[in-house]
Amino acid sequence: VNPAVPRPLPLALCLLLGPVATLGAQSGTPADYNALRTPASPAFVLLGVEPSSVERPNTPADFAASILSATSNLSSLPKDFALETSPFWLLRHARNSWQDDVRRNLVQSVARTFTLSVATSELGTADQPVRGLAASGRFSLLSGRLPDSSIRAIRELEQALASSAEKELRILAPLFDDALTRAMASATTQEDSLARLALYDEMKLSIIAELSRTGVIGSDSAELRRKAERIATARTGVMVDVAGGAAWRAPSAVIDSADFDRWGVWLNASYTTPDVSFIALARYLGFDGTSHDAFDVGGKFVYTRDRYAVSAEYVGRHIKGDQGGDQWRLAGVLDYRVTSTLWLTGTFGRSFDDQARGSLLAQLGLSLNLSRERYTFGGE
Amino acid sequence: MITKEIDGNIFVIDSAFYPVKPGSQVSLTVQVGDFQAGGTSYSWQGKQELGRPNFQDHVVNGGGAKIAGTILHCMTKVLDIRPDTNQTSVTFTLKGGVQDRSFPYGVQVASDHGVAVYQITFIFVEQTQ
Repeated sequence: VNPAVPRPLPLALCLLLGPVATLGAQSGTPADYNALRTPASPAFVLLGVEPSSVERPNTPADFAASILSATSNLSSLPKDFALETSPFWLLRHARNSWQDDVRRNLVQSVARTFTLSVATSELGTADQPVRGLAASGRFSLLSGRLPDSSIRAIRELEQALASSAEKELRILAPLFDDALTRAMASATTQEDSLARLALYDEMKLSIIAELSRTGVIGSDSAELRRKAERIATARTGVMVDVAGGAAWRAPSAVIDSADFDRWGVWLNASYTTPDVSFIALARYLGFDGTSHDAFDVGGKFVYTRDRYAVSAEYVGRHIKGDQGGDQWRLAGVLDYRVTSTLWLTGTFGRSFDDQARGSLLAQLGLSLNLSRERYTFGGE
Repeated sequence: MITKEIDGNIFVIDSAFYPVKPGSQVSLTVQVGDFQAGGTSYSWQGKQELGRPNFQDHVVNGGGAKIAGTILHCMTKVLDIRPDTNQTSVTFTLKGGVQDRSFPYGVQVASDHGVAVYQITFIFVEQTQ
């Protein structure tokens, strides 16, 4: 339910990025930093953690409860805590229809895609505990549009919902009329009538429950859900994502002793159609003295058809400092869909440091992908 | 108002009086909010009307039909199509009576692609003063 939830990265892409991650670790960058996309939760990337559970509150009350619970009413720094939240989606928007989100202006895009993530993790040892703390934000300056195919599908779904309501109301309305007559039978004053409306609602509930139990109404809900599941919510067109965050280290988990550790910014621009995606990414990771800052610029092209996908990516990296320098990586990936969830993947190319072990990328394997959308770039 | 989960669907059930004058022509608008998908049907005087997919300033008692003392049953089905939120909402607006009035409702479905059914009955009562 939360826009901060990252789409599952295709396993084949993980394979492709695996060797890069290793090299990244050597140069001091967190493993996930090297993925060629704007991270959904930069805080987790900066901290180098993959939380097994992430709090995703749906309401302001849930948000406050999550914070208060994790921090023991703001009195302590939690040990392993991860939270993602999107302020816009915490609030209700009764006046906004789905048509209002087909296209977004700049303000709408930023507001509807802004997500905040915080994470803490134990980075030290039992003898020398060090609590890591990271906070980040992410938003889309441009977030494309809902594709025409999705618009048509939603319209069809809405008409199916209206037809379903008509079919059921045809059965329910005479029963409701009868119940109302009985509920109001002895009402003599306006106040009495108002009080009996509550009784009438209870009678309507009983009718609905009984007809649902016997399958007279509600039997098409599963089919309606299946229709909805088939609607692609991924947006297409030009998307520009911005993300940034910072991390601190707190020896002995004492917040007053926390020292700034690292920071990172990501800028990602992409153009996506159902078949073709172009993506360009720039990112900077800065450290507080212990490692060298790294600056990456890269691009990726993906062409997808129903049974296969071809992609190529290039990333140039500049590492600052005396022992820094320039590196580059070039890789191509060919995917072939064997079954609906099983893909044969070949990866070929060269990793950043051609002197390092494992710099030649040459992998062939099978990957399981349960995501409906194998390749998805951009914010949503 | 009652909110109850029945066989995986969340039902919002309510009833309200809507004061009208003799000769009032009442119109109905149904707005599905929170960026969700929804469709509406209503029943009035034994006749069914299918929304396309909802209603916008739709005259309930066309042709000068008397509306006082009649009942309008509305049913709106909303399906959660947003990965961002499970919140759903429907606002029923009646115009043409003693005064225009909106009836806002909202409920959160339990999971993605959940269904919320809003069943609201409006009873048109005559107010002569």
